Amino acid sequence: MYLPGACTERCRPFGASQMIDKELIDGCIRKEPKAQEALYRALYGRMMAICSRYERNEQDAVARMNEGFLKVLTNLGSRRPEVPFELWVRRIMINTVIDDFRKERQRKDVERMDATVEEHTMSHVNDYLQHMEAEAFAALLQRVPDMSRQVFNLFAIDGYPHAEIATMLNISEGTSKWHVSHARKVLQGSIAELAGERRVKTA
Amino acid sequence: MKSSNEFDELARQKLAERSFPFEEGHWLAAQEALNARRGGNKRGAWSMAALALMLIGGGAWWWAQEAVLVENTATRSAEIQRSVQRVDPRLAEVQEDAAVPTGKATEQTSPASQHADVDLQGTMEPDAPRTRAASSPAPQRTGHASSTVAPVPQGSAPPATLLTTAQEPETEPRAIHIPLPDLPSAAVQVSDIWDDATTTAVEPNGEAQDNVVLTQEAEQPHPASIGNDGPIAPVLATEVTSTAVAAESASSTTDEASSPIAAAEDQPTAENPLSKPTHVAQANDTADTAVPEAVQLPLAAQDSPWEVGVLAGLFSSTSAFQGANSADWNDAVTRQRGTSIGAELMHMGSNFGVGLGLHYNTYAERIAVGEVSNTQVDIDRFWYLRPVDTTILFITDTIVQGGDPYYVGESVTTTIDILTEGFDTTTTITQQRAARALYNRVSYVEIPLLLDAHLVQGRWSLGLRGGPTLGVLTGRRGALPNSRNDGYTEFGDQAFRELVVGYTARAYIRYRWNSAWSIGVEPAIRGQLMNSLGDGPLERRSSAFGGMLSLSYRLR
Repeated sequence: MYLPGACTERCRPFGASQMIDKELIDGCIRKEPKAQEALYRALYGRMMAICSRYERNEQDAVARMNEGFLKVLTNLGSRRPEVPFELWVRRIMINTVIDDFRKERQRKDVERMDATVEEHTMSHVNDYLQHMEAEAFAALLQRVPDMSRQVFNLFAIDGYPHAEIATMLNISEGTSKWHVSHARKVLQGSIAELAGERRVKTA
Repeated sequence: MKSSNEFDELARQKLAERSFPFEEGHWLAAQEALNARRGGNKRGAWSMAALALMLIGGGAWWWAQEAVLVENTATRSAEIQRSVQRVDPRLAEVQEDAAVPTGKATEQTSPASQHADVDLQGTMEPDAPRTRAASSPAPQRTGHASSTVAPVPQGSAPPATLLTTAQEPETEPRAIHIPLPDLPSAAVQVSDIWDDATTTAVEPNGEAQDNVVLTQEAEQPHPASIGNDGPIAPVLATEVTSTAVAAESASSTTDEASSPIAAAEDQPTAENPLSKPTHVAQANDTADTAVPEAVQLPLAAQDSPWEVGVLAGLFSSTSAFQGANSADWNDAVTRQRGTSIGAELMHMGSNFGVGLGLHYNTYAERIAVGEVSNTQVDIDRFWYLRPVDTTILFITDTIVQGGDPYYVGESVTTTIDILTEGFDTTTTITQQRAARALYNRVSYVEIPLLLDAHLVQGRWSLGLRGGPTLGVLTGRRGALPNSRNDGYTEFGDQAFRELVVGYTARAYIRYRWNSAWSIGVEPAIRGQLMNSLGDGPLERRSSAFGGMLSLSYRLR
């Protein structure tokens, strides 16, 4: 039994898989509007979490999320049962945002990296990151250049190997590694900057 | 590395802490997209349903028309047969009469012919020995007859009068007097009089559905005969030939009793001893003159099932690439124009056929490949002294007052150098692959196994034809970006499959202008079902759509 709108609080990222049972999926396969809405509500948090990491603004993130959700509904009937539903949805969402990124990208501009990033003490940065707000870190993530952010998301957050990232984005593995490294430096620099400001304010 | 992994893990955890409260507006947007898709599906379904209904309706109408045509043809054939059977005994009777030289018009037992006789008697001499009564519904007269008039001395002969009697069953026969021209030898084309005549059927054995009876009154003077300056020359010889006895299938519905038959024969008489009957024509005009003047009969049957055809056309073709680095430049592939020519041999049934073909096809595409550059960023660390202006407080003395120590200091402004870390960044951009527009063209000789389904309505036929093809590579020109993204591989160096399985399908509408030849317009699609490239991760499948013109010949 599913109740649309009843799972708002429980639909946190990566925590809603318990809400999605076979009955709900079967209802979506039968194209029942209530089941579709319930599934959307159940998946909303994790879909939005994925899309907002890859997209620069909320509007684009919602557009990709809805696009990915349509793909989920379309391919629900052909899903292999042995694949966990959560992983399957996650894969579809990531493919959706990456496909869109590939269509829109201007790789030469993205690859032209001329930013000078200062290295910072890792322990200091990690300490600060551990205690900072999640939204603040997400905002810092948006400072990372597009290609580096996508690669960092794929590698560090979603756990894709460099070889697969290279195939997905049509770049070499070395380039993928470089983007991850560059994203880290940008993030760490930003965090260190924040930490410095905090220290100054405290003093 | 360890720090990096720790940082990544912390980042993952931090992002996982984010919460996204449900927003109704986002669901409404998704719902709109869902509804739009449902609407699109419904529109597509309705369009398909409408198309199916149109096809079914068109097919039903088509078959209904064909059934009516077949029924009409069968009915007419039966009526023609009956008419022939009716005419045959009279023809024999007339021939018997012709064998007896009576010098008078043959008595007719038909009421119509009796009427004709009465009419003739009323307008001519009773004993006119030579009367030709041509009875017909004039506008639909068919056939060909000629009268040859011999030279006659002036003032001594009666006019030659050609009587044409309309043989309406319920009306009196009409007599039309047509004086023959004053010529030593004149040929009167009866068909000229019946100017709208159309021959609709000819019975080679003399069987006719609509016959002509001409009687000529050679000795009958006529006021409108040749001039007033002397006696009209007698007709020395009159010949009526009916080389093609007209038959109107439409007139075959005439009732037997109402079909007036006037028969007469040319016989030598004392008044006109040279006249010699050469032919007896028999009329079996009908009252059914309301039948369409031109009855369109079906084309002669195509007795051979074999059909050969040639076709040629233009196509818009492209290729889909998969694998390797094709995703990098696949969006830059655009269609190009290709050609196709071919010949086919088909074994055609009434609605289905099978056959083989030999096609020469060209698949072409254009690829606008962008530049690929490699950007190398080198960062060098170095240290340098950075001067900083500062103020230093020097303690110069200590004073104790009431047991508490007080320090005496002096501020000194000075500049100190701080060791600072710096980075030198060197960016090197190397062009790996230059931008290039590629025009690729690959040609095949394809052997299709063709299956055909068609409908025929009169001269028009609609059909579908298609099947699998086996293509043999005949030529290639162009290039593709290589898998290393640092250049291009020319087609000459690219491995291609020599044999490629594909498909072809087309719809056609054809017009047949006689029993053998037809011309058609045929929208078509064709493509390859397998990778046309040889070994390697890159795959290429070409497809095309376009239109063709065909010329077909049905063997006899």
